[in-house]
Amino acid sequence: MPLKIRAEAIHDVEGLRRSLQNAVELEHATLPTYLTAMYSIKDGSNKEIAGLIKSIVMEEMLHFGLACNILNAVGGAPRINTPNFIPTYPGPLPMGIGEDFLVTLKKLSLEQVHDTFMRIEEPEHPIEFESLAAEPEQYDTIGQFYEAVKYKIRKFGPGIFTGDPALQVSGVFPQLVPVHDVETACQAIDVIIRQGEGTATNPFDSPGELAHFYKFEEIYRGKQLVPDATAPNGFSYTGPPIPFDPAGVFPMADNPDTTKLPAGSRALFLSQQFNYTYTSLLNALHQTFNGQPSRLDTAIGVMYSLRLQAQELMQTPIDAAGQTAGPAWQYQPVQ
Amino acid sequence: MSYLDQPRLCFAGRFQADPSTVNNDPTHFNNATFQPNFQQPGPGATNGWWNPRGTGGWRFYGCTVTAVDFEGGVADPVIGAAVSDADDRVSAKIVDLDPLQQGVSEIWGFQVRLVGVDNKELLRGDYRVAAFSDMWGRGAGSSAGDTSAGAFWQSVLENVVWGDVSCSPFLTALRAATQQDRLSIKFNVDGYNMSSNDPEFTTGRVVGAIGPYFEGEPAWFTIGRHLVPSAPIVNYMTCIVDSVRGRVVADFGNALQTTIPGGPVNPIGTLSLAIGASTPTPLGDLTYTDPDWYGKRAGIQEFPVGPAELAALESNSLVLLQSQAGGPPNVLLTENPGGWYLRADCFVFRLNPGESAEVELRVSKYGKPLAGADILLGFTNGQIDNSSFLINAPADALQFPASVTTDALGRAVFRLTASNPGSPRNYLDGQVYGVGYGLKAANVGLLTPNPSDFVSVLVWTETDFPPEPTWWQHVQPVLQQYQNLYPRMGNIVHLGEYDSVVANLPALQAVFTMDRHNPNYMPATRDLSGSKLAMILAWMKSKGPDGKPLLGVQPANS
Repeated sequence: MPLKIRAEAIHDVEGLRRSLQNAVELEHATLPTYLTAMYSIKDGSNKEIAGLIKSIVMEEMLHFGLACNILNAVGGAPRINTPNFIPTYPGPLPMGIGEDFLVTLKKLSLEQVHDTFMRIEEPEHPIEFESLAAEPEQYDTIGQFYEAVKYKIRKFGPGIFTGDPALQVSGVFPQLVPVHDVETACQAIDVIIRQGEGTATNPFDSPGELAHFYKFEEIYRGKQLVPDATAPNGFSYTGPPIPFDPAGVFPMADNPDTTKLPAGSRALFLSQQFNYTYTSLLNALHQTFNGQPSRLDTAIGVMYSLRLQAQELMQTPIDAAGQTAGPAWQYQPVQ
Repeated sequence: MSYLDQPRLCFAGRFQADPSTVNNDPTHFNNATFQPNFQQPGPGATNGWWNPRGTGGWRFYGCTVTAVDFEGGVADPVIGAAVSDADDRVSAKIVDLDPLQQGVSEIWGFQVRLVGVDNKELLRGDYRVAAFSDMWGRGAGSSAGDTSAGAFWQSVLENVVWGDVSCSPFLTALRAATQQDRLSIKFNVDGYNMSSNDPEFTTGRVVGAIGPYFEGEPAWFTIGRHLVPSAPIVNYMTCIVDSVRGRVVADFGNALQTTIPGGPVNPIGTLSLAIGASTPTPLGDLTYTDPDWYGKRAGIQEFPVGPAELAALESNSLVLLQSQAGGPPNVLLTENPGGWYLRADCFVFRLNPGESAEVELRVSKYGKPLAGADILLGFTNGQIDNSSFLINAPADALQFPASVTTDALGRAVFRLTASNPGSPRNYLDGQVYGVGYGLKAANVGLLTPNPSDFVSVLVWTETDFPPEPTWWQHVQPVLQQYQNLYPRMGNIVHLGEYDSVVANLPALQAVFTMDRHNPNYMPATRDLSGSKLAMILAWMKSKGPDGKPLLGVQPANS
């Protein structure tokens, strides 16, 4: 079953802005868990899997940007750099999604892909491809949430697009485009839904590009999803292999937590440095989506640093068994 | 005014300097002879020294305000505030000028922030690029390399933005006192850890001070009283005479040795500051055995002076004396004979052929600007390594006058103009030059007593490239050198490999075209010549039949 969502109904533009802020937080919340798994892959190992996760991460970043653009377009202001913007790991997704489902920070494993990643991305009706039946006034899945946002945007109409066009961010991703009216807002939401879930009838969100759930399932099953006339839905996991080599993954201990590292240790030094860099990324993104679009290049630069620092942590042993430290993704305002 | 004036805060904590060390050996720049081992830790002849996987990062770490000194006293809510670096971009970078001049490492893209204990930002300013100076063997328990070394960085914070400082009388006073949205900052570094198995690897102790800046003051040093060591157990230092407050403010922060690298000040008996070496007038003893003297007050000590002492200081040297049982004291530090002092403000330059830069010299006598002073200029080896290549050649590729004379403010400005030096160092781009200066009246040639006091200049080669450069013929040889020297970059992009560079083209175009002051600028080492950069950018924009930048033909021997 897809993860259930508990969120307020949208009654007015203020409620819409709150929902879009929730969307920004949701799109961000999946990145630390995906990136931790991606960073845990040693350079040159598990190339196909690394490529698949990277493609998903890039799309989540795009969704984050699109959600910010929509929020700015309807006169809101994304809040990205506050301590409570960052989820606790292990912990729930925003908006009460999935109730007691906890998102973890773990190295790449098939279990993590299955138990966490596929769970997060589970579509409304996986493989069955039935059309969405829910009344958009009500929603209890991520997909329905976005449908409801879209529905309300259409209902409220052009009058809500009071945001300053100068706040719109574009570039880096071809699909990161300015939002300025009902149509561009709905198109942006369609991109988010389609890339996450696929269309209602096809696991591909665009030619050659699988929706996230199916990419993760490819990893889990170790085979590409390919057209298959003999399969009930026209596709099956019978394509070329997607091998997983556990030796090509750093032995990172589960759910890194800076506060549990010993004082004076190298792991603590590097973990705090990572947290500060991560906080710097959120600050740069906050500036980017609050009036300084040119700061996007700066934010991207910080992302490269994050990767280097995460991989240094993952090569820093923290116990006799050889397990290593890892990125904790915690708020740190000074270093 | 400077960090030695009031209002002044002191801070202390740790720094991280994480340079890659593969480039410490000039021969490692030679692609033709580069060996994989050069990217592994170990001696430079066979390996890449102690930190081949360094990122170039520079950071403050765990620094806090430890003391304030201003009209309002020595207590203020700002004590305990964090002294941190930028929180919205990548770390600053520590950058050598050249493999032959590693003695003027600069900090680029640095920002300094004061953040209150409630996490509210009190101020932030851009650290103007500065090189360290006055490196010496500060750790008395000497060990190899930079571990026992001490040095300082002095500069200004520019574009200072103040937060709500109403809760801090000290910061309110500092904001009122300083000019041009600038602050003066100086910090000492020592106890640098070069042991890769140690938790504190690549970090060291930093202790410094921030104070007001006045328009017209130098940015990289303080006009004042400059003391010269007469024994190897002490180092060059700066004092100011504050006649209004009746104080001599002395900065011993980089002047006294420690028992071990990064440890307490080495006890060497009673030390006192005095006026005059032969019949000294004592101004007071140093309280250096108090751990807070360096740990909290940065080794800056004030000495009260009355009208008689102020008058004597007009024409007599400040000296540091070491008491001797049953005899006259040792003079450990004293000013130049006649009290003269000469120094260039900015002393590190990078020039492409056709570019020029102004060098500003200041001359003072007993701390007062000296007008009409003739300064001789000429090439010097200075502290530049000339053991593997001839430096300062060709001489005509760096032009400057033979002498300059100070104006009424004791200031003399001259221009360095670069032309193409060709390739005198083969695989090392350009040439490095040292420009010395000396006070003609002092009759010491181009020498100043302080070996750090000369100007270092890197002049890049003007390389001719065709309008349509190709990967194999032009780009790859340049980028391969970076791949060799900075292996950590390989976690992001393999600069010597066409497919990797093309896959990362937008990001690379962005960082290669940034302002050099941006901490994300590439190459982080800021050593890519203008002609090579233009060639690489032209190549990145080119499109072959496949829509990708031009590949060219792979040479048979590559």
